[in-house]
Amino acid sequence: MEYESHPKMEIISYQLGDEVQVVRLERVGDAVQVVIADRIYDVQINHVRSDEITFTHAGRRHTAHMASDGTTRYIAIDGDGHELRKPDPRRARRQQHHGEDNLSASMPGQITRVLVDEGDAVQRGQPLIVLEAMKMEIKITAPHDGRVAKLLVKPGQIVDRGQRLIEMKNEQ
Amino acid sequence: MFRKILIANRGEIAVRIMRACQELGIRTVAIYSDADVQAMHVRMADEAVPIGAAAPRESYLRSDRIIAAAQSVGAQAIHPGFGFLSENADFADAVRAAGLISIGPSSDAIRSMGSKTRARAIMQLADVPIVPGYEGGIDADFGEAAGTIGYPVLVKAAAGGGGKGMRIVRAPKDLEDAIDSAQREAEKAFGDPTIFLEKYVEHAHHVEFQVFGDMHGNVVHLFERDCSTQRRHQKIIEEAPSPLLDGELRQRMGEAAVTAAQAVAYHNAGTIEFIVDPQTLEFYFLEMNTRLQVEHPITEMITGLDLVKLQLKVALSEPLPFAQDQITARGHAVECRVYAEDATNGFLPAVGPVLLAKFPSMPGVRVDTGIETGDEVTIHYDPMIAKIIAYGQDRADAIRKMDAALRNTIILGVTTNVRFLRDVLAHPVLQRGEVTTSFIEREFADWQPGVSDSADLALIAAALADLQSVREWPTIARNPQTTSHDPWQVSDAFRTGG
Repeated sequence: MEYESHPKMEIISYQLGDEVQVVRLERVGDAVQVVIADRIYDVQINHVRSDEITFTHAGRRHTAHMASDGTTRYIAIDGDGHELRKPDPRRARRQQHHGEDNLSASMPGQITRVLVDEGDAVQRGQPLIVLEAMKMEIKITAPHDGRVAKLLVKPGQIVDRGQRLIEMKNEQ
Repeated sequence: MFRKILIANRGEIAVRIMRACQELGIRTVAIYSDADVQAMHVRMADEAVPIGAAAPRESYLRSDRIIAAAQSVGAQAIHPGFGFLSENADFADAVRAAGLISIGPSSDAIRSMGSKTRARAIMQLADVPIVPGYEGGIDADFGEAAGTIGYPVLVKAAAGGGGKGMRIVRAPKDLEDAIDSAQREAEKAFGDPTIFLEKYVEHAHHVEFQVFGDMHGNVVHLFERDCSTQRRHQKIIEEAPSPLLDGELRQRMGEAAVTAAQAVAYHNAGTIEFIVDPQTLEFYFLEMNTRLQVEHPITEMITGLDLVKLQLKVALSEPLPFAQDQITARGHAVECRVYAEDATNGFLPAVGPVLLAKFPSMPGVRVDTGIETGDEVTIHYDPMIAKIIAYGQDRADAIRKMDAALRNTIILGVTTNVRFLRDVLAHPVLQRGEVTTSFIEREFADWQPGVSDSADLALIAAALADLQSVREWPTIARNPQTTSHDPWQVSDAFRTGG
């Protein structure tokens, strides 16, 4: 067959968790050889649909279910779920920058109370904001002694998970 | 039988009740908030009535609007499901005052058992053993009482349920804070900030008995459910029968459960919750839930009964169709609650669009769900989105079947606890049937999904799908060097099927 004499490799990268994974695919006869890092898989594609792909590897058949919301591809295979994203080199840096403080919403919900004003001096552990979702109450507390630099939310406001709620200044 | 019933609930329980109604040829009426216009329970009902904004107190808790809705469509009865208004005695009264049938117990029974403190007093009178505790009152000194009971103690909402308004306190210095926040949460969830103290029996089994009464004074129990696998005081895995009980203890506890229900002249479906100390096999009354229970399907599996249909019969004053000695149990059933939540992040609720929902279909497996592909999980309501129920000839068979069922439970787009449930099921303590209520906290506090063998398979699947989306594999390469293509640039790459 034509492609046998002209093997060609495809390289596709995905962000999986914090790592970028490079997947190399090469057609070999009826099968596809897939290389991820130093691991080699010879797979056969059995069936492909928009939200489902079935392939055979090492004598076992696997079915993956897939869906995407445009930025993330969700895959369920063998009872596990995985989220793949387009590799984003800036992502790692951003996480480092904001990763330390606890001042973003840990779940989506509604701000029920704001307990401090801008400019207030606060102590480590002091409650700053109360967030509520599904009748659960979560207190956002100061991660260290310091001053409230900026309040980014108001009582009653609906926030997303990860949304920044408050900016703090270190007083040193 | 009824001609038309309004179901004053949403999600999987509304769907489950409608299924029973549809089987019996009863027309169903759904109610819905602004957030649920497209919800599964609305799509399934014969009629649907909007009742207000997304927040429950503006919609699913508005008894006035719900009763008006029932009257406007000519429904004869209201089924409250569980949660929302199901244990609200004023609602039951209002429904009956409007000339409708409330499918549930009398409002007197709801009131007696709804106040945990009053329930404790009634049980004491009926000689049903209760957990040592302190009810408080005017000038209550909770600090002193907690010292007398002995730490750890539980702060509980008198009007509570479902773990809301409940706190474990291990040291005197934490008592005041716990009482404050429990009161706030109780006020918010139940409109009543009253709390009480109870001895916290650590390493106990939570064993509850399903009871059923009719309006002619008959009360029976339908055996027990062991609901010891809990996180944040909420059940996540239940099974029937309990691996802890032998025939003798089962009989004694069943009799105590019937006595407890008779003490409030109970009719319709109810649950008597006990805690059992696995060391001494002593049992204590915890509370009664005066409604159908989330985990009722496992009782249905082992008894072969349909509890919702029984509820409808009893609500029409029909006598129970069986006596205690005619009820038998067979096999073993397990239920797993699928929550939209992040088990790696303190079980915090997750929200989002359900991009794909596929549930198992296999022998002995039942799925009760309120979501389908294309639905949305919002912040407004309980994050439980489905229940997977597995029935086996024995306990090991049921657990194995459950794992297979969970492997085939596919929910994409919103984070769920399915992987977590599988790890909990595989734990040797659960396999041995020795789970107590502190098990999850003790064994899974820092749970992370293990390094997955399937990550590479997922990458392979994604890459193959992307490969297929490029219409054909290029066949001629002038220059035999590798090329790279970016699947994210291909429009609609995910949906192209090759």
